Amino acid sequence: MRKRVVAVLAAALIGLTACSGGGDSGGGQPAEGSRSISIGTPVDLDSFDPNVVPTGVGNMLKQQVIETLMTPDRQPLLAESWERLDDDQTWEFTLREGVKFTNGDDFNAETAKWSIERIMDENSENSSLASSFRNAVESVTAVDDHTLQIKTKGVIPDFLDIMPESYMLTPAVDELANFGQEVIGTGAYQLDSWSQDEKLTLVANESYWGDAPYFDEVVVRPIPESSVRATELRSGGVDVILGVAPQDFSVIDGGDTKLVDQLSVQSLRIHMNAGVAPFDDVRVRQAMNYGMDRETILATVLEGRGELMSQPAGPTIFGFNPDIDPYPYDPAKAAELLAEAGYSPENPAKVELQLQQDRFPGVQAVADAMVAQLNEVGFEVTATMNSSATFLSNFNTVGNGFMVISQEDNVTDLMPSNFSSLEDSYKRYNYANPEVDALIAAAQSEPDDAKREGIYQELNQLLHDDAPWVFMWNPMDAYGINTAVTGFAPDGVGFFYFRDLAGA
Amino acid sequence: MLNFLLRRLGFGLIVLLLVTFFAFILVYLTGDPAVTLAGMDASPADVERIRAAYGLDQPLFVQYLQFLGNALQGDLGTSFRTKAPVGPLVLERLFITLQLVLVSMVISLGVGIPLGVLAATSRSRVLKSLVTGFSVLTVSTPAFWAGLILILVFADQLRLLPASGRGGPESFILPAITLSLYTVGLIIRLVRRSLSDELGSQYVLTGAAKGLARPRIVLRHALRNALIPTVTVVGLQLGYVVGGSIVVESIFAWPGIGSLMINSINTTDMPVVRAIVLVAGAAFVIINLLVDLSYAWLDPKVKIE
Repeated sequence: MRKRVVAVLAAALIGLTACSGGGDSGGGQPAEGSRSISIGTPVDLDSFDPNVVPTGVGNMLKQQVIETLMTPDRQPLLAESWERLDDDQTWEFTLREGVKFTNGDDFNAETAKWSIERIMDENSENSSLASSFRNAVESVTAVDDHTLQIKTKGVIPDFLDIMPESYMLTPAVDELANFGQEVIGTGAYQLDSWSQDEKLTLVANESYWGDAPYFDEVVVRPIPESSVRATELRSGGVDVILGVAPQDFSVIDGGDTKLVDQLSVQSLRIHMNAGVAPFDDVRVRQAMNYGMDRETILATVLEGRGELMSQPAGPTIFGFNPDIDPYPYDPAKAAELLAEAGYSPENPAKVELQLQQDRFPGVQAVADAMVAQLNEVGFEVTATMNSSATFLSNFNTVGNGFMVISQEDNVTDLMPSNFSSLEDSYKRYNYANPEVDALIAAAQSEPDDAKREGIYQELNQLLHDDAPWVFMWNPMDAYGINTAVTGFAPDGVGFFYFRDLAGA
Repeated sequence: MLNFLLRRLGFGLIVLLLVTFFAFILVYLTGDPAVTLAGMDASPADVERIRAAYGLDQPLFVQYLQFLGNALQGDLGTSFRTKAPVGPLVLERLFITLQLVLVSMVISLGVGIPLGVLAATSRSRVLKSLVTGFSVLTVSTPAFWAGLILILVFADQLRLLPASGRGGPESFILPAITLSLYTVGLIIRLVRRSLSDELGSQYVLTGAAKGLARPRIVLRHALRNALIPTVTVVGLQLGYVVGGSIVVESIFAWPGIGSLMINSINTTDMPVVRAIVLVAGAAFVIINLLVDLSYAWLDPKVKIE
């Protein structure tokens, strides 16, 4: 009986693999002589189309195939050089020559112009990308085959902030049956096959203008469960994993695998609704900052992996002010400020905090510690965990405090939408300070880099003091790699080029 | 018979109407879809533009009727997330899940029936308690925990099987076992109880009195009858196994309908969520119908009216 059961089971398995099409082995067996690497990610890409809101790994994956005028760290890519012309409003880009798309189309100033205008298209769903270009770009001109001029709307000294997202496409993408699931680019890799939520296979682009990458094939596998990702890395199923949870650190560090750390440009902060009591009073907002022992929470819940924030800008952002210290933990001072603002144990400052579950590992433990400490100093805090969808739609409508972990890797993204009352933005949470508005406006029109940096530093000091946020910390991103992999150096937004990876 | 079929199909349609209606409302309870689609950085104007572009500015009732109208014509809409037609997408993922479900059912029956027979016929009390203990254990072990433990043991420590993903036959083993745990325990209990009942009945005594060998009585006669209730429950269970695949698929990164459901909810891809609910609802209705029909076919005493 038993034997027969095993035989039936084996037959069933073989039959099933036959109908599943055979070939798609989870490990992605490379052809003989070719070099393959596989990467485990928490989520899949949704679409290669830059005009669709990207997932957490969307921009990174897209840019292996679709190139931009400059790299995320502002190095030349499809633009070899650029300069600001004398009117301070026109930027001239000299484009790389001899670049071809994988369908054979030439990359030139006309395609670049078309691509930038496509990003600004009124039907774009990626509103944050589209509006950052729409707000800045007045017109785009192809001067000659390899010279592109962009005229900005007024003087915008920080204009280059948006250029790392200048995705260069060919008009031929419009003829694809479903652009987004298919793609044409100039990158070191091109799309080979993609089965959503299962496996994305990229192969080296043989006509790439730059050096050929070390790996001929890159397999990207979404593995949602973090501990399973860690196991896949340890057992050799994948060579690199993104997003390592704290409980897996010790498992990954040692043997054939190691942990790679990178301070994230993301920041964890609490936006406080400055339009309503109790947060309409700056003393209460400061008391929130003094009233929790962020250093201990960071050390105990996240093993100290992160750096305390002192101001809106992170250390790598233009205008970061190195002279500002983080708010110290001072419960007495917090209680005093609350008392000054007219709150007492009988009449506590009520805080309804909205949190997003699973946003980062340990969010519940952080919330518990925070609530306990704030209640000690005279707040009355209720914390609500939300799913990501509820979280977003509750913004500005439910509660008065909103714990956000967000990513602004340049000062243009960071300042106006978070703090300027002249902007039509959800993120601002009713914060309005004429002094802040004036400083933002002054910085945005100051062409001199040194002077502009000075204004941003002043702004950071002002925002530290006026405390529209509870400044928590910049977290540390954790990656796991096989020790045989070299050249893996993600930046603070988790970006890296697959073409930089090599094997030992 | 025809009357019965028509009546059941009519009920099925009502069930589907209710299920899709609730799916429609529930998606809204998780938040304003336009806000989620537009993303954190969107301005209120962006949100309104996206609301209009996806037809989310229409009254809920109108949207629901449009959905029903299109669904009746076989058009389940286009995914917000991938811009691909939803119908083929859902069917493709359902097929991937069904492969897993089928293997897990083979495991459940292959392990559950023999152990159930053993528990019912064995004279050893130790063996009986062992089997009963095993069935309690499998029924009460949560799938996410069992899945992780299996991965730890067989992929991490022993390096025998892949930890996740869909590939060759070996990749089916861990997720299928995880998915089968609950049904294995259930089948053991069912077979044990109904076989014990059968073994106490007149025809078994008669057979024994006639001098038939014990294995022949148990396997050829009693087990056949004992399997009737098992078939019913296993059939009904099939639907729950598909539901259970949501957990199992997200652990094992199995690209079936469960992981599609989770991802679609997370990205507020409403057309996909609705289509999955519709397809899953339809599957339940059909399975229930088939189970009823098979019951009559297995047991001639049951008359369908």
